[in-house]
Amino acid sequence: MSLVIPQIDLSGLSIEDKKQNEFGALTSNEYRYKTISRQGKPLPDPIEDEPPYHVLFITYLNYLILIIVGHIKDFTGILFNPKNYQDLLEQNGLAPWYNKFESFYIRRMKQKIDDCFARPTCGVPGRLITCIDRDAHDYNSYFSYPGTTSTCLNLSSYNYLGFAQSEGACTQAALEILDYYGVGSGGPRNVIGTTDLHLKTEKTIAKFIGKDDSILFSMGYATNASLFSSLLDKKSLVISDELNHASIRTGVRLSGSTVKTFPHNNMIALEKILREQISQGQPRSHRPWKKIIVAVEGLYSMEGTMANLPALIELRRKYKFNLFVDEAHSIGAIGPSGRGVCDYFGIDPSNVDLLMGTLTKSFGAAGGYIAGSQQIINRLKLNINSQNYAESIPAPVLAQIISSLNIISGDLNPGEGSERLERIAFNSRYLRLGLQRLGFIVYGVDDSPVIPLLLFAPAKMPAFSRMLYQRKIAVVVVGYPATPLTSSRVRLCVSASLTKEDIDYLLRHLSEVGDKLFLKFSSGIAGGSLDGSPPRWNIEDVLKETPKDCKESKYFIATANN
Amino acid sequence: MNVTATTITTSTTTIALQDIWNTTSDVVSRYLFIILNYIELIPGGSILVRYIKSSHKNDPIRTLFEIALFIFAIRYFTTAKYERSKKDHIKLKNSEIDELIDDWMPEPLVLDISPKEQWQLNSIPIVKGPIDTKVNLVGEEGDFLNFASSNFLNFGINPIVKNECKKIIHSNGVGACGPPNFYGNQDIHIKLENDLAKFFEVGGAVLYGQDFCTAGSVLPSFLKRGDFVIADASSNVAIQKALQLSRCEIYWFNHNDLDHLEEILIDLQKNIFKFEKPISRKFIVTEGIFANKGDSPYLPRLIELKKKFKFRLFLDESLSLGVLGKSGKGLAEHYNIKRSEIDVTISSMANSFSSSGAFCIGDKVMTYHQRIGSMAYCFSASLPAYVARATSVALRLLTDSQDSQGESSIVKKLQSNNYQLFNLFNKDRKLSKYLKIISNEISPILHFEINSDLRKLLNFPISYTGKGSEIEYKNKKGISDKFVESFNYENLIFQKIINLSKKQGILITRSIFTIEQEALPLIPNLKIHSNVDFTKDEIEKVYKIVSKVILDVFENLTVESLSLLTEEVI
Repeated sequence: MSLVIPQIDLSGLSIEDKKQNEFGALTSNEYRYKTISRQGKPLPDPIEDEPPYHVLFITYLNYLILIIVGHIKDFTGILFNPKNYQDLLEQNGLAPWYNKFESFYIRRMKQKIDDCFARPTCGVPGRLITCIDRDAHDYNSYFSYPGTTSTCLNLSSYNYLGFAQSEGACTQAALEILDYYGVGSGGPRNVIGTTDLHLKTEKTIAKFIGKDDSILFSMGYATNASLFSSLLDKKSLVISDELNHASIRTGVRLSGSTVKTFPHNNMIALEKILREQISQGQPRSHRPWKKIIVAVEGLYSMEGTMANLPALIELRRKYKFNLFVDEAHSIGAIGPSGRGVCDYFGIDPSNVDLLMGTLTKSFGAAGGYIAGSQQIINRLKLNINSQNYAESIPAPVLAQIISSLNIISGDLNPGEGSERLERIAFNSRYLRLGLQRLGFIVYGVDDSPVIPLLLFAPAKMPAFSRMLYQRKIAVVVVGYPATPLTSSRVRLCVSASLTKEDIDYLLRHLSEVGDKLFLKFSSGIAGGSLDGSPPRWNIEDVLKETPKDCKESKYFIATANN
Repeated sequence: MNVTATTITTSTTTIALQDIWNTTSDVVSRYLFIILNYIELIPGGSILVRYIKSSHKNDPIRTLFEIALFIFAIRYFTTAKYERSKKDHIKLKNSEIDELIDDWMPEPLVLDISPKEQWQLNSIPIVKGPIDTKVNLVGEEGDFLNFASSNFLNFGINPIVKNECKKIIHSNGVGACGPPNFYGNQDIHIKLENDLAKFFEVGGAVLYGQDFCTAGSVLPSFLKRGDFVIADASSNVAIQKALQLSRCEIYWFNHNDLDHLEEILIDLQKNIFKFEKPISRKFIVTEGIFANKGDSPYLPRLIELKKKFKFRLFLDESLSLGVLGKSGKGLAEHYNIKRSEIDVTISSMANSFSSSGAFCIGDKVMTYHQRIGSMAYCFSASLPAYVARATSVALRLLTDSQDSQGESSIVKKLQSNNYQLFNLFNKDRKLSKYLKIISNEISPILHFEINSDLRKLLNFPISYTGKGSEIEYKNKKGISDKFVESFNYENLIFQKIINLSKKQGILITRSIFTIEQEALPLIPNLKIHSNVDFTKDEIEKVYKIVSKVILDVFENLTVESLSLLTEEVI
C-alpha cells in the first residue's frame, strides 16, 4: 500500500493485443454510417425532455441537505476543532489561500466525490483506458494505491477518431520526427520557434478546412485566450452564446471589448440583440460599433448540441458581423468528411471568418489552430501574443497532426480515414438511439459524438461513476458549476475506436445501472419512441433493432420532423 | 407692508386649495366605497377593506398617495432590470433600425500588413530540421550558429532524453486526449509533478500546457476583488494579463527598486492594511530573470519585505531555472534561500528543460487549490505524456550531473558561457558608445539597448509603451492602426544587425513584442542567447562578428538614413 502513484509498465502486452486495446478492429461493414450533409438546411430547435417533478424536488433537496450539513460542519468544526481547518483560517497574519465561502462547494461537495475525478491512468487513452486503482481514505482527503490497475472501456477521452494510438502510421511519423528534430521547440514562433514543419502543418490544416491559411498554438485554451485581444478593442462588441467555453470568455475579457450573451442557440434572441446593438451603437456615445463578432461553438461539449450554422450565416449576411466558430470538439468528429460543422451543414467555410479548433481531440495531438483568410492570418502572425511570447508546438506533435490529417483526408492509408469517420458516426447514432429507447434523457443532436445522459440529482453522480467503474467502464460525470445546478450529467464521448460489441456491452450495463439508480424517466418527446409515449424498451430488443434503425433519421424525433 | 401682502396671497391659495380638496375628497370617497364594496366580495377581501378604511381616515390625499405608491411598486418589480438601466436608449422605428443596419459598415477584422511592416513577416527565421546550437534555415545556404534559442541546456536534442521520450510515445502515443480532471492525468504527469516537488523541495507541483498562459491562470485563481498586488514595473506581458484578469488592486514599484517597494508597502500598511478585517490576500509579483531586461531582483530583501508586511511572493522563474544556482534550482538557490520561502513559483518548461508547457510549484494547499480553481488547468488537455517525460529526464540529468558539493557540471558550464559572453561584450569600450548592456552577467540572454543619448539624437521616444506613449493614446482612442514609425525604425536598426550577422553565419535575435498589448514602458532590445553547448571559440566568434557589425551599422547611422532602412532590410 503506497501513497505514491505507481508507475505502471504495460510492455507485457503483445503488439496485437495492444493494437486491439487502442483501436478495436471493425467487426462488420454493417456497423458503419456515412453522415449525410444537411446541405444548408438549418437544424430544428432541439427538444429538451423535462424530468418529472419529483426528480427535480429530490435534486433540490439533495443540494439543500448538502449545504445545510456542510455549513453546520464548518461552523462546529472551526469552533471545536480549528486544527483541521487551518487552511481556511488566517495564519501568521497571512490570509488563507482561499476562504471558507469560496471553497465551500469544493470542500463540502466536490471532495465527497473526488474519487470520481482525476482518476490516474496509464498507457494510451484509446478504446480501453487503464486506470490505476486507488483507495480513498477519510472522505477522499487522501488516496493510497494498491498497485493494481483496471482496464476500462473508454467513454471519457476526447479521442473521437481514435488517433490516440501507440502503433500505426501517426506514431511512426512522430517517432521519426522526434529522432531527427528532438523533443521540444526552440522558443516563441517569431523568435526561433518556426520550423519548416510548422509551416507545413499550417498549410495542411488550412487545406483540410478550406481556408487560405492557419496559425498554430501550443495549447487549445490559450488559442481562444489570446485571439480576441489581437482583433478587438473597447469599441468592439462580442455577442457570445451563453454556453461558450471558459477560454472564449477569458479571451474576450482580456480584449476589453463589450460582451453581450444570448441564450443558448437562440437565433431569435441573437437577431434581437444584433438589431438593438447595431442601431443603438456604443453605450452613451451611440457611435456605431467598430466591429461585431458573434462567437459560437461548433459542438457544445456539455450539451451535445451544435451551432445552428445555416441560420447564423443568414444573419451574418444580413447584419455584416464577423463570425467566430470554435470547433474544438467538432473538427474531425463531425461532417461527412470530418471537416467540422461547415462540412456537416454543407456550407462553404468562406462564410465563417474565423474557424478555431483544437488538435488535442480528434487528432490525438496537442495545441490549437485558427484558420482564416490570408489577410487575417498574416496579421495574427505578427501581433498575436502567443506567436511572440509562448513556446511553439514541438515537432513530434506536428508529425502526429500532419499524419492524422492526411489519414482523414485519404492521402495516407486510403480507406482508413473514411472507416474512422463512418465508425464514429455509427457509434454515436447507435449509442444515442439505444439510450433513448431504454428511456434515458439525453441531450444533443443525432450525429453528436458527445452524448450527455442526464442524472439530475447530484448524489447520483458518484453512484453512477463508481458502479460503472466496477463494471470496467470509464465515464466522466459533470455537475455544478460546469452545468446548471439541477442538471448533473454523465458525458459519454464516443470514439471511432469502439466496436459495435463494445457499445452493446456499454448499453447493457447502462441499462442495469439506470434501473438501479432510477434514471429512466424520459417522456418520449425527445426521441426513442415514434408515437411520443415514454420509451422503455427491453435491452435485448434495443440491441437487436437499434444497429439497423440508427442509420435512419426517422427514428430520431428531433430531425425526423424536419 | 411686505408681510401683509404675503399673508393675503397665502390665504387666497388656501381658499383655492380648499376647493380642490373638497372635490377630490368627494370623488375619492364616493368611488372608493364603490370599489370597496366589490373587494369585499373576494375571499379575504374584508381584511383588505378594513385596512383601507382604517388608513383612509377621511384623508383622500393619503389614499391617493398610497395608491400611487402601490402602482409604482408594481411597475418597479415588473419591469426587467436591464430596462431600468437603459436610460440612454433611443426609441427607433423598425424602418429606422433597418436603415441604420443598412448603413452600418464595420471595420475589417484586421488591417492589411502595410509595406512598412512587411519586413517583420519576412524576417522570421524558418528553421529546417532540429533546433540545435547549429541550425539550417529555409532559403539560406550553410549552417548558422544559433544564438537565438532559449534551450539553454540543450536537452531537446540530448540522445538520453530522446530515447526516453520515444519509449513513452511507444507506450502512450502522443496526445493525452483529455483534461487532467477527466482521465487525462497519466502516471507520467504525476511522476513529473512528484519529481518537480522533490527537485525543488516543495509540497507540490501543477503542470500547464503552455508557458504564456500560466501566470494568467495561477494568479487569478487566488486574487479576487479586494486583494492586493504589488508588481515590478517591468514585468512581462503574461503577468500584466494575469493581473488584468484578477480584478485586484494593483500597484507597481519601479523596476527592481526595492526601496520603492518598501515605501509603497509602508504606505499601504498605514492607510489600508492596519484597518483590514478580515485580511485580504496580498502578493508581491516579480521575475527571477526579467524577460524584458535580463536582470534580476535582490531576493533576500524581497523575502524580508514580504515577511515583514505579510505578503506572499510570486516569482516567474522561466529564464532562471536551470540557469542560476549551483545545481540549477534558480534564483532562490543563487541566494541560498529555500524554495519553500517563495510562495508561488512558475516556470516555463520550454526554456532550460527544452520540452513544452509550464509548471507551478509551491506548498501543498496552494497547488491543491489550483487543481480546481485554475482555468488553464481545468479547461485544457494535459500535456502530451512524452513532453512531461522530457522534463522528468532533464531533472534527472541535472541531478546526476551534481558532484559531491551539489554543484552541477552542466549548469556550471552554462554559467561560464554566460559570463564569457557578457564579459566579452561588456569590456568593449567602443560598443558602449552606441549600445548599453542592460542584462546581468548571470543572465543567459544578453540584452542591449541603444544608448539614451543616441536615442535622443535619433528622435526616439523614452518609451514606446506605458504612460504617455503613442501606443497608449492609440489604445485609448481605439485607433486600429497600431503602427508606430519610430518603433519600426528602432527595430529595423536591430534587424539590420541581425541580417548582417546572419550573412556571416551567426543567428542572433531582438526583442519581439506586441506593443499594443504591453502596458508597461519598453524599448526594443538586441538579444544574444547563450547555450551550454557553445565552445569558448564559438562565443569568441559571435563576439567578433556581432561587435563589428554593430559598429558598422551605427557608424553610418543618421536620422536621415533611418528611412532607408526599410529597403535595406528587405
